[in-house]
Amino acid sequence: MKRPLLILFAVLAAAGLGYAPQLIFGAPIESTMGFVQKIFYFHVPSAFMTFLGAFVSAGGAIWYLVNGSPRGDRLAVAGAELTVLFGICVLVTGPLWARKAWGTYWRWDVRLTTSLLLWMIFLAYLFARRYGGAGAKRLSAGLAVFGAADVPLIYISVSVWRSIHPKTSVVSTLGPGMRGPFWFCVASFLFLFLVLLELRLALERSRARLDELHLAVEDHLDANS
Amino acid sequence: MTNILVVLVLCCAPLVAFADDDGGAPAAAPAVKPPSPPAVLDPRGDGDEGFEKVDGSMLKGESIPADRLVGAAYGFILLAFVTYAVSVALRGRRVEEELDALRKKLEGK
Repeated sequence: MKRPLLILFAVLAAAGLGYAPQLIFGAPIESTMGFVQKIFYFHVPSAFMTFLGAFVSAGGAIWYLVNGSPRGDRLAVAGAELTVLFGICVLVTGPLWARKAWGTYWRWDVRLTTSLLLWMIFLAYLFARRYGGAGAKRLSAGLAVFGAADVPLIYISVSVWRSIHPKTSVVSTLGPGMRGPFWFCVASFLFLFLVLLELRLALERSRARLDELHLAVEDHLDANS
Repeated sequence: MTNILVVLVLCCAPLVAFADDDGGAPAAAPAVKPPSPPAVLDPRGDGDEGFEKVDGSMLKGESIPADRLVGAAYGFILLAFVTYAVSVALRGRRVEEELDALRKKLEGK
């Protein structure tokens, strides 16, 4: 990503996240759940970005597995980290909402359980990559593909199985006063996702340069000895 | 340098969010009367040890205000994003420092 574009996205993300509470608090209060429903405005965008991160990671992992592309591997690790980051936001904000709406922080509902599973798979990806030793990149790439396969399951879970979690149709049936703030939050989260993805990719590129340089130093030392 | 600038911009989000406290103050949540607790029978009598019989005053702390939960959720999200952005910037700086040291080492030889 070009530098001016990155800075523009960072400004848009910061301004969006900063302005979002004004819009959210100005949106109508939901009749059944009351004020706590406002968690929806950042819980759902976080979930969208978790899914996006999983798909980016799986796409990069497939690219790496098929072509051995280092760029694919960098994309996979950056996407996996963002899946874990946005995933923890989903897993923390959801129970806070549930505490008021359901009277309990957690239930082993199919939507909640599959979401936790997705987060744990990508956490396993990061651990496998860091501590897996030789072959860790290929092993973790397989985990990323496996993790992304959980995303459609999470999405359809509320329709297929009996669940107390709100249905996916709540987004498409939002009232006019709620639709604007919601999509504003989604856009802000998307800008933030892109900025963090680019920052994380830049870090991986620097690490790749460092590895190349380490090899050059070793070659140099071998040639002199 | 760009990364640090971007991280600084992202860190400004919480400042913008809480800059206008009056305008952005949440509307009061509708007063919801908590459901009355079911009566708990204690077959053991008052003198027994173990679980304590529930009374109305104990349940007052059970109802968490919705605005506190919403604030906690938003606060957590901001904290998570800022922490992550700072962590990426710090890791990047460490790698850059290591790169510079290696380059100097190579040039020296």
